[in-house]
Amino acid sequence: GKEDAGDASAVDQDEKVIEISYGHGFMPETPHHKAAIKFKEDVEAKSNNRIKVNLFPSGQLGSAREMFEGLQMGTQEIALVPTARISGFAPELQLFDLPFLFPTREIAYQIMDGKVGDELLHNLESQQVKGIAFYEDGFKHFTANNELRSIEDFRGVKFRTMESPIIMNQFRALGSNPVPIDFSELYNSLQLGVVDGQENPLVTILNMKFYEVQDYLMISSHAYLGHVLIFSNSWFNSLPEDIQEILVSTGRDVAQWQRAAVQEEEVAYLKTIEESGTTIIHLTEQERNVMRDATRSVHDEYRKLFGDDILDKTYEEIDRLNN
Amino acid sequence: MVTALFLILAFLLVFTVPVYIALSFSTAITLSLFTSIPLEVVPQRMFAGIDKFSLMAVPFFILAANVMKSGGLSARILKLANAAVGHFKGGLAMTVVVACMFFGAVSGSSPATVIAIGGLMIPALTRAGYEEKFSVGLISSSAAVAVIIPPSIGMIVYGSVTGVSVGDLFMAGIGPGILYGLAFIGYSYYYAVKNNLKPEKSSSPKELWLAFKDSFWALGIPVVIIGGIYGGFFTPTEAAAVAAVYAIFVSLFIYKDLNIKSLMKEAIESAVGTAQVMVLLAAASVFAWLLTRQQVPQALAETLISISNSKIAILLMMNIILLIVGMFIDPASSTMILAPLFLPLALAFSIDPVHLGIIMVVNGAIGMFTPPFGLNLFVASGVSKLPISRIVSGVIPFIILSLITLMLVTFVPQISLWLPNILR
Amino acid sequence: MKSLNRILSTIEQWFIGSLLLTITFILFINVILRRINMSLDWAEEFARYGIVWVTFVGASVCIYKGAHIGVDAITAFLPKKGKNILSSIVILISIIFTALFTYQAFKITYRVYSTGQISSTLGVPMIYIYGAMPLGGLLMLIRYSEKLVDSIKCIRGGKE
Ligand code: NA
Ligand code: NA
Repeated sequence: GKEDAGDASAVDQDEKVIEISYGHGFMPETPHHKAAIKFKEDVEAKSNNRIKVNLFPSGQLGSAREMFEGLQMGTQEIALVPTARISGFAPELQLFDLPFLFPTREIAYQIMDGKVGDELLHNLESQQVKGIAFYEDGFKHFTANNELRSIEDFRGVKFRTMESPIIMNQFRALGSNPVPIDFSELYNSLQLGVVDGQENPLVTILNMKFYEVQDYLMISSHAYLGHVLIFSNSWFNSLPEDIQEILVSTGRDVAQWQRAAVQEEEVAYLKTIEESGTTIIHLTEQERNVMRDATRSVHDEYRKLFGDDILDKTYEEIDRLNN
Repeated sequence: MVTALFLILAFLLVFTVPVYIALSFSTAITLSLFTSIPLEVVPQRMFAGIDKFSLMAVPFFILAANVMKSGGLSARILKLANAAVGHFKGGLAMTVVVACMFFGAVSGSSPATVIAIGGLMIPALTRAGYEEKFSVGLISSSAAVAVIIPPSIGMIVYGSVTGVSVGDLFMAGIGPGILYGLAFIGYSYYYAVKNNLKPEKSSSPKELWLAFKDSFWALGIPVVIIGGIYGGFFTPTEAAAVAAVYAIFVSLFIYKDLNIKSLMKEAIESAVGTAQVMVLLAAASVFAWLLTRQQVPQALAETLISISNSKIAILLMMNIILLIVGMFIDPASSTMILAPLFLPLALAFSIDPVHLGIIMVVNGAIGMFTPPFGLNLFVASGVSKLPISRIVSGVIPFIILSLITLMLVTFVPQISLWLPNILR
Repeated sequence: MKSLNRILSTIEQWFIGSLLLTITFILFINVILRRINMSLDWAEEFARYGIVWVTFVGASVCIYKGAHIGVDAITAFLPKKGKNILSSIVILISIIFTALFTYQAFKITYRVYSTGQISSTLGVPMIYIYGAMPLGGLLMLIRYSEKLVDSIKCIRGGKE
């Protein structure tokens, strides 16, 4: 009741449940959503249910750009968004889109969890958003209706791309023709031949059923699709310290869990795709080097736009980790 | 909170506040009364509601339909339709159903189909003696159910949420799509007989040939759209833009019924029509955002499903939930929210996931023309200049007919599954 | 005042009409360019954001033309005077909402400006796209105010 407000609020302070909306764009069966569920369970348990996390998968709260804005405005608390989809806010995150940058997944993880990753996450502060950790879709691969074995097979092929200059230039550097097509029209466009191919990580190729309408999958691991777990900054700063600690540490721990889950699922994805009759081709080391050299110009483009600093640091780290 | 939201909405709508304001204002009032969510979310969601490439087909088809009307393409196609089928009882209405099915099937957008076919055929049906509200009801509903015929964006959404093969879903949509077409064609015949509509006198082969020759260029529109999409030349959205440019070209240079000045007039008219529809979509997306964030569809689903314990009851409840949610939330969003809830239930009651997908897509299609919020109704009002109340009364027979057909689709899974089962 | 309104409305109409035509032709040209492998990077984004402008400026034209869709259930039962009063109240509600919308739209546009959000392909600052909302809101406010004045005159004069 209102009359004993003093007493009640003291109790409330301890028992008041903090409700959080956590949105992402991935389907319920993906490792991404399973990671979100794990985050929810861990956070709720660790906080003795002082926190309640409501999950909104499949883009129910909007696109990545819209959710990012939601965090800025304070209409949503947590989001997991692809780095490639928020380049309008944090252009330097396009680092991940650069073709043939990370030689292995392990190195990619170490870069993301190291000082380059820290700096990228820290840069988000200027956007009123707190970057917590990098999750992943994993490496992107090419699919097409013509056989893809070497760079020659890319010449003149129409590839659907996101509306991103860096990715379009990657295709131009390979001699293909990039065609921006909205994601919602991609399945039909592949089926009816508006475009011949596309690039995506296995989790998307599987979930969006692109393998149903593509004859060849080249395991090219040519670029990395990362996600970033972000919190609304103003909301986060208003929380008690112990809660902040729970949210940040759980967010980071689940990132490790999610990456392992993606790797595990990829084995099953490949099996499903192969069984559907899609031919799987592994890019040879030699051809990989040819394609890497051919697309180096895209890195220079990035350098022109965002300076030498981040890219040089990344190269340095990669060299160090390679040895 | 949700009760307040709906009460405020109902109050504003009854007092004739424009629908876009009723939807977004009721959300804004509810937000400020019950939550601390900043109202900046209102313009943000309005923007998000229209910032979608798949909606772009709507403006282009509006433009194409307006140009076809004043550029003389429509009149020529009508003359041909009359010459070909005017002497059958209900022939013109049946033609409309078939045209909607083709157009809706390829464009995948039912409001765009209402505009394209409605702008063309409503005047013709009126001239042939059909009541305006019948014509509008016929077109709003035929255009909606046409999206069941592949390719269908709703099925792609369902496939990606549930893991069901999109190819199988496409195949499964063909049976129900044909069934809906037949149901509407049957009703058109019944309507013509009941109202004793006089068929036109039958045309001689020569008249038919002349009508065909005269409408040759106008007939290029469906050929370009259907051929272009299936030939892989462009996406359905781009097809709408191509159709508009084709119509402009034919009206300016071949039929010469249009000049630059009157083209500009049509462009303005179309832009106004675009704003009319898009501002509604913008407002609806604010409203749907709040329902989603409050997890209203989930709560509704959990309550209704918990009281059912047989396969029949579960199927009925799913349909009821989908219809209610479909009244306020667009089909793609409601599929994304509800499919993950329904799928485990379906599996528990041994309902085929492909069949469930068809049930969801059909319900989504019906939601497009059920009041209070059915986009096709608003678009039809824009095209026909009829008030919403008349359109609603015209669409009621079609809602009943669609619900009966829906029961068939729900309880006779073979209608959907025979084709994918043969091909599997 | 009246003639100023007419000029404004002519500008609005020409703007949305020619913008719609431009978008249509750009997508058409892009289809052709794709055949010769020269897709425009920005066509799709231009179309989406162009339609945003058409929508919010067009919403103002819709007020001017009385084209906004509403449910007309109770007006049929009201006498003429009642209709006029109801319509004034509706316009007043519309003004309140539009003012709220415009204010919030300014806020979000300012946010987009201050955080420097840019569009992904055109590289255009998003302020030029979000700007359609506060501007459209202002135009709508002008239109509704004009309607309110007319409608109060009607009640006073007792004419339709
Ligand atoms: Na379809
Ligand atoms: Na509806």
